Parts: sequence; C-alpha cells; structure tokens
Amino acid sequence: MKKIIFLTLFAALLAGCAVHRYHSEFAFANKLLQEGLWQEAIFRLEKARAAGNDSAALHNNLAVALEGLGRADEAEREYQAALKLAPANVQIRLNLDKLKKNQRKDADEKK
Amino acid sequence: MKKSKLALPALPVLLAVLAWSCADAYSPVTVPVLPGKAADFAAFQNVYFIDFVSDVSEAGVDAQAEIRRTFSEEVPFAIDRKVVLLEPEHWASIRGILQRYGLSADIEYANSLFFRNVFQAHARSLFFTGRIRVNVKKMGVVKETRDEKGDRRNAYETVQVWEMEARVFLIDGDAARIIMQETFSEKLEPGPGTTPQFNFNALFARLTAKLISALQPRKVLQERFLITR
Repeated sequence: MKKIIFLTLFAALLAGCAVHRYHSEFAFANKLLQEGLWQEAIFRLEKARAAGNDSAALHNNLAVALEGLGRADEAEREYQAALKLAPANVQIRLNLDKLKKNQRKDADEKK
Repeated sequence: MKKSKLALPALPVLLAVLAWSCADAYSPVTVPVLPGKAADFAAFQNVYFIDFVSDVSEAGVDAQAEIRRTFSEEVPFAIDRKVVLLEPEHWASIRGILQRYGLSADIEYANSLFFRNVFQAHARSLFFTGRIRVNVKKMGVVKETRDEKGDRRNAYETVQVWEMEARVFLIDGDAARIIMQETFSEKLEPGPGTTPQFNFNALFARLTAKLISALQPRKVLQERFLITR
C-alpha cells in the first residue's frame, strides 16, 4: 500500500513539474507580449507547443504575437485553431474579428 | 454522519477552487497594425508630378522650381520610386486661368476632359498634383523696449506672417480616382532680413515633412486580448 502511495505521489510530482514548465514558458511569453517583444514571445510559445501543449490560449497568444509582427495570414490561422479548441470564447472571436476587419480594409484600399 | 459534516463546508471551497482553475483570465495588449501605405507605389509603372496650381507669384517667389525640386528629389526617398515631372500641353495656361479664380474651386480630376486625356496617355501611372496658397499678412505687435533712462516703453512694430496651405492629391490615373488627398498648413514669422524665397522654401520644407510622413505607412495601435491562464 505504501509503495502505491509513494509511486502515485512521485507520478503527481513529475506531472506537476511538466505542467509548471509549460506554464512558466507560457507565462513568460505573456510577459514578453505585454512588452511588445513579439519575436521572443513566438519562440517561447512555439517551445511550449513543441512540448506537447496545445491549448486555445496558446494559439490565441501566438496569433497576437504574429499580428504584432504584421504576419496577419498566419495570425488568422492561429485564431481559427484557437476557436476550434474553444468555440465559445468571446475574446478570441473579438481578436479574430478585429484582424479580419483590418484585412478587409487593406483589401478595399488596394482595389 | 461525520463524513457529511466534513464535506458540507468543504464543498463551496472545492467548487470555488474548481471554478478558479477552469476560468480563463484575460489581459489586454496593444499590437501595432500597419494599415498600409497611401498607395502601393510598386504596383504602378510610373509616378508623375504635375505642377501645382498656385497663387504664390503674388508673393514675389518662384514657387514652381522649389516644388519641382521637392517632388523630384525628396519625395522619391519616401515612396522608393522615381518621380517624373510631367508637363502636359496647355497645363501652364490652364493653371494661369485657375489662379485668377483664387484657387477657390477644386479640380474634378475624374470629370475633367483635360486630366482624362493626361491619364489615358500615361497608363498604369500615379499622379501627384495639387494646389498651394500663400498669404503674407502684416500684423501690428506691441514690443516692450527700454529707453536711455531704463524706463519701459511700448513700441509698435509691424511684423510679417506667412501662411501656407497646400492640398496634395495622389491620383490613380487608370481609375481616375483620388487615392490620397491631404491638406497641410503652416505659419511662419520670418526673421529680419530674410528674402521671400527663403521664407517660402522654409515654409514649404515644413509642409514637405508632413507630406512625407503622410506617405509613410502609419502605425495604429489596436487592442487584443491575451489569455493568461
């Protein structure tokens, strides 16, 4: 019984560390985004994604960073991916709506 | 019985923790958005400059040379394209007629037969043109001076004030459509001993700086939401 408890605790500790690592990269990326360091934030978020973490928040924040660099098409794809994971999220939809509005305006100006 | 007594107070706490961990947290962040340049200059075969309609000759200044120099030497740096001076036939005499009307009416470029012919003769081109007004005013000002005894005296002086207003049009010739229309204005109180040409050049340089910044892609900040949890 003691062994089982010990192993369970050990597994929980490992899982906790993994989650913490993801959260630290993710949280750090958010700090970078607040500072407008888009390139570095993309690097951190890609790293978090490579670690196997795929969440609506990650896609949304990555899209924001891509928008910051003017990569609107890639940003749109990331917002769409975020919406697939969290279709009811109002904030992601708002972000995507604003991006699409800008794209429409650009297209109108080019006509 | 004991179990239910323990579980009852713990339940709201557990629910609160669960709600907190499940809820997303948002924070706003501003992203720079480039709404695009005034025009995609690279998409056109040529960029032309057609002389401005002006009333500057009354101020005793050769405005045309300075405006031409600005558009052929300074504007190309801003748009990364060569700007070619275009002198359509009869334009000089038309400008003279327009000048007599005090520049009060805007030219309807799309409906003007003259301009339609110019645009058709130069396909896939952009055209810079516009009008410029200069008003030299004399204003009385009171200046405080001191006499030989050191007493304060008010002296009345007349100073010149130069006012300039330029309206610049950027036209897509194929569509006969104005794609940029900006009005810039500046004032200058010239120093003593400056020539009218110097005053004009100084004022026009200020307007040029404004025009060049209007031709650059402008950064607009927009709000986006980060999901922080």
